[in-house]
Amino acid sequence: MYAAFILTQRRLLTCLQTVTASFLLAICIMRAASAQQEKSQAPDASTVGPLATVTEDYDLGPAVNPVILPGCVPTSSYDCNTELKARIYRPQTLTGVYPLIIFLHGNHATCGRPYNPPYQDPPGFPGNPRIDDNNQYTGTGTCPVGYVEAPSYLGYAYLANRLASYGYIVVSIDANRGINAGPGLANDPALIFARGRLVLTHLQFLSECNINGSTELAACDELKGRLDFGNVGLMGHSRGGEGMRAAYNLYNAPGSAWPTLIPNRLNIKGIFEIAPTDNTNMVSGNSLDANGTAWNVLLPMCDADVSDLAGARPFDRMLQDTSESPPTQKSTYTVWGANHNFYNTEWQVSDTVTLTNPVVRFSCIGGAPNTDLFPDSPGSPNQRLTAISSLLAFFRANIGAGADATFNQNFNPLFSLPQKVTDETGASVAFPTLVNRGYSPSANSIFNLIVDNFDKPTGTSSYGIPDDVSNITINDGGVRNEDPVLSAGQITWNTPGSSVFFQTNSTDINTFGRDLTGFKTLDFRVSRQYNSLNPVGPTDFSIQLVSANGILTRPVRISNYTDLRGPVGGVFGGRHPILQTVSVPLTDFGNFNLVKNQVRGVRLIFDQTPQGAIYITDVRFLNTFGSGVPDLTQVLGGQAQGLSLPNPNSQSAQGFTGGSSNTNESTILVHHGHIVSIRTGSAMSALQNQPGVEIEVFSQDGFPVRDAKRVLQIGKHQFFLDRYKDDDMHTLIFTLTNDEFAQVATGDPVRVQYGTEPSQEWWDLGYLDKSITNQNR
Amino acid sequence: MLQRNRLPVFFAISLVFSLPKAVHAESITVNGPWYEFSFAQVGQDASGCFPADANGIDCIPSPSGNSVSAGTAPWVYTSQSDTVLTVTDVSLRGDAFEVFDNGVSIGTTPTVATGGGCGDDPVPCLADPLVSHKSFLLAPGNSSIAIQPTAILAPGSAYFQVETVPEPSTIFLNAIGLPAFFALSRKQRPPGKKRGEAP
Repeated sequence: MYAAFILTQRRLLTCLQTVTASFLLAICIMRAASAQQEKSQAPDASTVGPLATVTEDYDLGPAVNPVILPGCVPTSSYDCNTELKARIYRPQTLTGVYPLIIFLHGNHATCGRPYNPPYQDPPGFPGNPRIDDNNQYTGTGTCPVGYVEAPSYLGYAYLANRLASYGYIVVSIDANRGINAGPGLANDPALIFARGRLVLTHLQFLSECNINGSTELAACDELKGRLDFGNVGLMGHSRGGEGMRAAYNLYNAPGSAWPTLIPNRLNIKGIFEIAPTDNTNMVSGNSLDANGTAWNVLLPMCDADVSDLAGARPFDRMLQDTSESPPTQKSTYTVWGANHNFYNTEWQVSDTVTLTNPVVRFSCIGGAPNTDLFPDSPGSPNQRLTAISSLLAFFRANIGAGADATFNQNFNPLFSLPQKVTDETGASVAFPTLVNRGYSPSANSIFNLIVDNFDKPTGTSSYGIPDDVSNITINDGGVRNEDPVLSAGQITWNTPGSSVFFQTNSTDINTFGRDLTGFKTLDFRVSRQYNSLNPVGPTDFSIQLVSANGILTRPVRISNYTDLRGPVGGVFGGRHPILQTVSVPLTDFGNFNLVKNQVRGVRLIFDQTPQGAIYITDVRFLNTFGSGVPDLTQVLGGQAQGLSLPNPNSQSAQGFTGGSSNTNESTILVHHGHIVSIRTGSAMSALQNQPGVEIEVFSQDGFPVRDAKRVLQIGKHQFFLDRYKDDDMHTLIFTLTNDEFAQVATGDPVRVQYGTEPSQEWWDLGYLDKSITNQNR
Repeated sequence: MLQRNRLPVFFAISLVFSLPKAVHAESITVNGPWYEFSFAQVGQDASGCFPADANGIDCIPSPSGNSVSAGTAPWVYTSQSDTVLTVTDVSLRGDAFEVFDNGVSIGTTPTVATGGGCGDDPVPCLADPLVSHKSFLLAPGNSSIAIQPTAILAPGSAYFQVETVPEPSTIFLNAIGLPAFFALSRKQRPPGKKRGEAP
């Protein structure tokens, strides 16, 4: 009896062990499945490279160069000279050929003086910043007594040295002479193309160094045979960013002379822009893009200079190019809490403050984590960290014979950002803020099956197929800050549930669906509207793929792929609903195999967040995971590669709450001034000696040098061609053609502002009075 | 070594895991709504629709609100009178089905050509002669319905509905167009092959 009991007990034990093992196995499988919902982490490209580095300078002296400034007419304070002056950052020992990176800074005053509180400057600015408030160097090559040249081109050493440590030769160009803060040309009021020609002229010089060397200039001679013109990258900040796009387009334009002028064949493989302008359509109506080369834009969410985040627009436009050749990656990288100036260490006063007494501050708005990464002065190591991380990743992924495309994962929303990055001292530190990313491996149709660009009338997809909607409202329209070519669905819902949905269809009902065999991801761009329907915390909803034969996949939730918050922004520029890309591996949809041959549409089900208001656009299927992502294993299998699997909501876990209101949002800053004179002339220098009208305006507050273009607004009309009358920046002269002057009328209100969009800061100059024309005042 | 005082816990766990898997069957309502079911593969039993059937596929419900999701198959009901089981494909044409009652095949819906469709509502689909559909007469008693696709264009969903056959007097009073159906209702349930047998 006892033996039988023991036997029974043993059997039970065996049974129990089997059961327990099965149970544990089940738990393991469930955990593995759960881990697949988490993103792998992009590799950190910002570590210090293995090579010792040195710097060298070249300065060929000032010269009037009609290639750079065609038609420039000298004045007493502006001699039309430009110069080829730059600093080279390179490996100390050169033993082969090296990829070449060119840097170009943005528009900034060219002379600076010591901080002098409380007499000249308001007190309280930390770090003894240099105050750059004079432009004499631009036109003369000298600065007033007590001033020094503001060396904007040296402000990216923290990036250049790090690149050089990996074997890049970086040339940072000084654009102060003749261009920075210089008078605009009639067909180039912001001197964007002039900047592009300056860059190409440097490349011409460097190419000649590469081929011939120099017996007179060591910095040039040492580059002989060392530059790989087949691997060139460009980085530009602010107007420098758009200037780099200009250089790229000028070189590649049909019939361009530059391929002849530059002895080495140039292959620009990537452009990285920081807070760029997008000015060139002011005159021509044509904008500059970077089709055919890898491109990333870093957008500071609290930018108070290019406060409309105009750099987002090229991405929108390039997503329209379905025949891009060669197909190349495009991305946006929007950094919460960052300002415009502090990506350059020589720009030492934040663009978010005024040097007036009292100081006016345009801080970040929207709540954490969109909190100022920057003090008022003199810079922000945390902010620079975001540039080190992204810029190193971009160039190390795309430029050079030894480029490692896996660093492109830093721009791909299938991957989370590195949790640790390497600061300027070489220390590994936590990534400092939240970044929203937009991404496309290329808009080329070889990668993309478009479902809906919201480019047809509301209620229909890009194929003209009716949407299916239930208990939501939708209107197609533009998105603030994005390019006018972009259209998005503006969706709102007031109650959650499985019957609250928007479904966009790429095939009609009762017809065969799309065969997605070979496709990898569903991508779309999304952001939140600035709308009280949105909660303080993140918005969540579900997504399903819809079969043409009456079934759907299992849903996935957007919260597994992004942290949908905001919009946030800066007091000066308002809130920026910059669209971010959500990329969902198709195999994440349960039952995808059942629908993949007959996919009709994509359904967003608003069954999570009770109410909401979002923008959505660029819904598409992609047959690639993107550059540097060879297979799905790499997307989901971070552990297999020794990468950690961070919690995709880790930023939420840190208490981020973007989306709250801010009482300072309505801050408006109005400066005052007046029209000094209106003069007609038969040969205006700014108009290449054509007749025109000059309107001189004055403000005691001055008109600072910024990257956003100054605009004279008279009534409904805007004019862009201007120059400083002298170097102290209190007087501006705008030049209008006679036809333009005829468009405006006495009594029209007159103001100056920065940028073409409605602004919260302007200079009120009263009303136009044409009767003062040619009167001495 | 297993301690004796933990045995009850292990017994309990063992009991849970050693219980036979419950056989679920979904009771359906006669003269009720259309039941939507899902299918993935020829020769494989159709399922209900998720979430009513945890193993089913997510289905697009009928836009006119005349349907519910079927739960776990088989779908059972009891009727004191004859019933008519109607099965119809929806969405894209080209799917066809074999229907079983208590494990015995009672027939198939016709094979149809692919091309075009009838939408997600079973009512217009039933009226579409190019869509595969058929009604089956079932005798009173307990019915346990299972359905297998015999041809599929793609995994999808379809519908069935069960209605009682009207009394003869009602038919007489209504007296329009259904004499043949009336005659059929007097017949015995037709013999059929067992599930799994070759057709």
